[in-house]
Amino acid sequence: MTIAAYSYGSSAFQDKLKHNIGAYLTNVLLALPLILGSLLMFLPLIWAVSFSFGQPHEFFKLPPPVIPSAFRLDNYHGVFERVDFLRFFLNSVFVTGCVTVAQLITCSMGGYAFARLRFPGKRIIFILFLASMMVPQHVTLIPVFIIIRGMGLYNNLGALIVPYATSVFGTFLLKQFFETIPDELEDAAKIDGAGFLQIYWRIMLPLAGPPLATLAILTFNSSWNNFFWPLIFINSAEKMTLPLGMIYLRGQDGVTNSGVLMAAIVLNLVPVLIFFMIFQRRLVEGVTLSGLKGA
Amino acid sequence: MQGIAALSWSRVNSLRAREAIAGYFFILPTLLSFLIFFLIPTISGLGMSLFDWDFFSDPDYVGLDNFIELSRDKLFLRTLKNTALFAFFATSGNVGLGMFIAIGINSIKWRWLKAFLRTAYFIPFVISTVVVALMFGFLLQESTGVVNYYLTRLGIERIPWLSSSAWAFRSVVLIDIWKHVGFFTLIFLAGLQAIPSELYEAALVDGAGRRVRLTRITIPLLTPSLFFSLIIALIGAFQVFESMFVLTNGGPGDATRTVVMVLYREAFGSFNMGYAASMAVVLFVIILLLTVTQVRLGDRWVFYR
Repeated sequence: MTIAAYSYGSSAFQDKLKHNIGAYLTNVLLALPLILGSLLMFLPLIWAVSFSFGQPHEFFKLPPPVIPSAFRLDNYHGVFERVDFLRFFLNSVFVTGCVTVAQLITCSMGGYAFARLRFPGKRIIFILFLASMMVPQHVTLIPVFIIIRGMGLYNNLGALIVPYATSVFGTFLLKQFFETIPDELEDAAKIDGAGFLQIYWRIMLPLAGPPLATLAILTFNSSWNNFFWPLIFINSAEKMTLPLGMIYLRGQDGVTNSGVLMAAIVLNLVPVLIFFMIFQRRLVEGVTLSGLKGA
Repeated sequence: MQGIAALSWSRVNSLRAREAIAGYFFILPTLLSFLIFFLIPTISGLGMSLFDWDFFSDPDYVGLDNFIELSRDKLFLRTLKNTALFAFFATSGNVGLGMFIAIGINSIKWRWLKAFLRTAYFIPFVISTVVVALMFGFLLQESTGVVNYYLTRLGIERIPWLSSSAWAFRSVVLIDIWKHVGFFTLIFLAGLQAIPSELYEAALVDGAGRRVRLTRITIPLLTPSLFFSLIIALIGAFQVFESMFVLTNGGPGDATRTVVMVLYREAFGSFNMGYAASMAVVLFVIILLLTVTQVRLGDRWVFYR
């Protein structure tokens, strides 16, 4: 009996061990190509960083050093000598900040109205909003260009803010959220004599932290990287945001494909990667959410 | 009695009216922006395609002449073909790879490795396309680029990544996949997490192996994510502009020139506003038709629970 029990236990143990080793091996086998693939994602970034610290002659040295011979800051000085990089950065911060704050306000207002208020024409307006997401922005490009010029916003940072002060996607995102808030909360406030503005401000907004954070991060990311709009509306260096400023820098003498350009690229990457590290979870949630909404 | 009823009716009405006023107040910013920056521009953009207009003098009504001219415009047709091919390869690469990476990541047991891989593939998505294009322009140079250096060390000949027409096109597609595959991986990972684990448990009880579980459970239940990914990938790819504009400026020759690139040049380089507007209309119609077709076909292969 004891022997039987013992042998039974042993074979279970062996089975388990076998299973564990098997699982371990399949894990490793599955993970290996994925890990190699992920290196492909990092490698260009690592090279950019190492070249940004390198010296010109090292660009023609073979093999190109993955770790430069010395951490020289010449290329970084080169960036600031050629263009007002800080100005580009501050312009980007200003534009992105304004767009993000504006969208948080307008989208939450719109989302609240579409989710919780009754007014004539609500359905048709909302359907029109959604349909607009299908139309490529290039259809509206020339008329919007004329409108922006008419507003006196040509070559003005306002041209990069005003058209983006609200978004259909954000309104939709918050509408979906506000629809999940139980009626009782609102009813209680109504009995206490609260107006719609108070309900929005005191009840709805404080509850909407997570979707607002998601919207803020997605908006921040797309506004920070916007290139097409500045390309069309901005023509002087002191009004440029970072992506357009990069192209302007490349146009300067001796910058094309040099360490200076790499240094500027690294200066671009650092804030974006810090942003990514801090908000990674929210960003992932946001993308996932927008994906699930569509599916 | 009647008085009270009338009174409460008017109260209800005034409540309704107040709610409606509040509603319009809250949607006012979004609605104004929608009218000024979308509805009016869309209508006038569509109308503009029927005019010959150089921005400075009065527009001439030319009917469908712009579209007739487009159908004979060799450069436009070439860029249309480039754009369609790019959309095809970039979409299949992004969506196909994204799906397999997601399935791979999802089947790994170690949580830390899962999190690491998800992050690694997603990082390029947050970097601006301009920076990505400038970086690869540097790394992919034919004679001094790092990539070619290591290829020659492996015994592979230098590849003219950006200087031959065929390779420039491939490079642009590969870079697009590098930047966007992580986004689609996330979409598929979300889809995978939505599959109830009972299904897999039931399959295990029935003795189904890894492959059967993949083809009978995972892939069918991922079709909604696949459907969504295909639609947004195609819409995005048909509007591609930045990476080519920065990396190759359409070249060599016109090998990487896209519809939006010629549209941009016609509008803001040559000031052929009507002609550029007609290109935008063609692009819009193509995107619309593709999306509608996909939605129609989707009913046949997308598995809805």
